[in-house]
Parts: sequence; C-alpha cells; structure tokens
Amino acid sequence: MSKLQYSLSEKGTVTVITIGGSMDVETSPELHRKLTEVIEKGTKSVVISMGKLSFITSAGLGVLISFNDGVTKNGGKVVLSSMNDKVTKIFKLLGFINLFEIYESDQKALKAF
Amino acid sequence: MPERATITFSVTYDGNALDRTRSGLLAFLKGNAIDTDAISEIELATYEVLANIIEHSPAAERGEEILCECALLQNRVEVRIEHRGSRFDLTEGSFPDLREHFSKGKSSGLGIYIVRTLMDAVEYAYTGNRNVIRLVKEL
Repeated sequence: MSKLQYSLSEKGTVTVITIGGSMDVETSPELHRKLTEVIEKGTKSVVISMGKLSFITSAGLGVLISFNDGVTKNGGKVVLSSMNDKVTKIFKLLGFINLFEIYESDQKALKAF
Repeated sequence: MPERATITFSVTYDGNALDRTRSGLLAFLKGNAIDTDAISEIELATYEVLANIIEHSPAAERGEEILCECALLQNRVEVRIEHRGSRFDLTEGSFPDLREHFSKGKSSGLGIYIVRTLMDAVEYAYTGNRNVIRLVKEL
C-alpha cells in the first residue's frame, strides 16, 4: 500500500498542495497537522492536486472538509483538481462531488482564482 | 448459492493490520476478476468498518483478533466481519446531512455513511458478546 505523500508549492498567489498515496486513518493526522499550518499562515487560495491519490477514507475526507472550513473562514477558497477515475467515482457515489469545487486539471483549477 | 471463493483475514488492533487486510482483499478481488468499481467500493467499506472497530474498541475488548471473511458468490460479494466487544450497530441512526457537515467543517459519522452508501446491504447481529457485520455488494 502506498503511504501518503504530499508537497506544497506556490503558483503566483495560489498555494498548490499535491497529495498522493493513501489518505487513511493512519496517514490523515499528519496531513491534518500540515494543513492546519497552512490555515494558520492565512493562506487564502489553495489548489489540492489529487492526481496521485490512490485511496481516500472518511478520515481523509474529514481532513479535506476541515481544511476547506478553515480556509473559507479566513475568507479564502479551496479547490480540488486532477482526481483519478477511482477517487472521482467514490466522490460521486458519496455526494462529495457537489460539495467541493473540482477541476479536471491543475491548470484549470489555477484559473479559478 | 455456492461460493466461488473465500478468503479470511485475522485482523489485529493496529493500523498495519488495516493495510495488510486491505492489500490482501484487493489481491483476492482482482485475482477473481471482480469489477473494478465494485472492488473500490468493497475495499473502502471494509476498511471503514475495520477502522471503526479498531478506533473505538476499548483496550479491554482487544483480546481477540477481528475476523474478516470475504466470499465471492455467483452474483455478489459478501464480507463478514466479526469481533468480540460491546454492541455497536452501524445500521442504526440516520445519515449525516452532508451539506451541513461540509458547511460546518464536521466529519463525524462519515465512516458509517460511506459503508451504508457504498454497499447494497449492510446487516448487523449481536450474539454471544460478538458483533457480526455483513456487507453485501451485488455484481
């Protein structure tokens, strides 16, 4: 099983967080801590690029919901991008596709800001 | 209906066991040419049930391993998860309001919501101090 990988970069005024591997009950707390730091910095524009994400559980979804809430309360916006077919289908089945702002590519997501 | 194949996992109360079980379940389902979408849904629902048991079981109830058995039948997959412990019926209760959860940054109850949404049937029984959960995915 591939464990969680993540990296942060800046594209102009937008923070791009690239996530890969597995967002599960074991790995999500670490990502939650990292994303909390991003919120505390007052970051307002975030793309979460999920092309390399292979598995997401309720723990991972909870981290995304919490992060979105924190950034939104700061007056910012979070969008998701580049989800693979597997994750997209799970988002659709669970109804999350209608909650998050989602783009098919990072380039299109960056244009949302 | 005759079983085509079965596999059984003994799951200990730790995160590594979750990964091992998920990996073994994936290999079993892929090896039996189960539909890719169904595999993803069974993988996630099974993980959520096991993670919920591991996360919420008190130390005193962790003496025995969790039994997880996956059976392939002619037109469905059944996963049976059994563990000794306090009664916890994941078929009870209403679904969380996803939009309200999202707007308030809440994530409680998502695991059970996932299991009940992805599976075609979720059955629960409590007998002899053992929780028995049966997940059914039609193929």
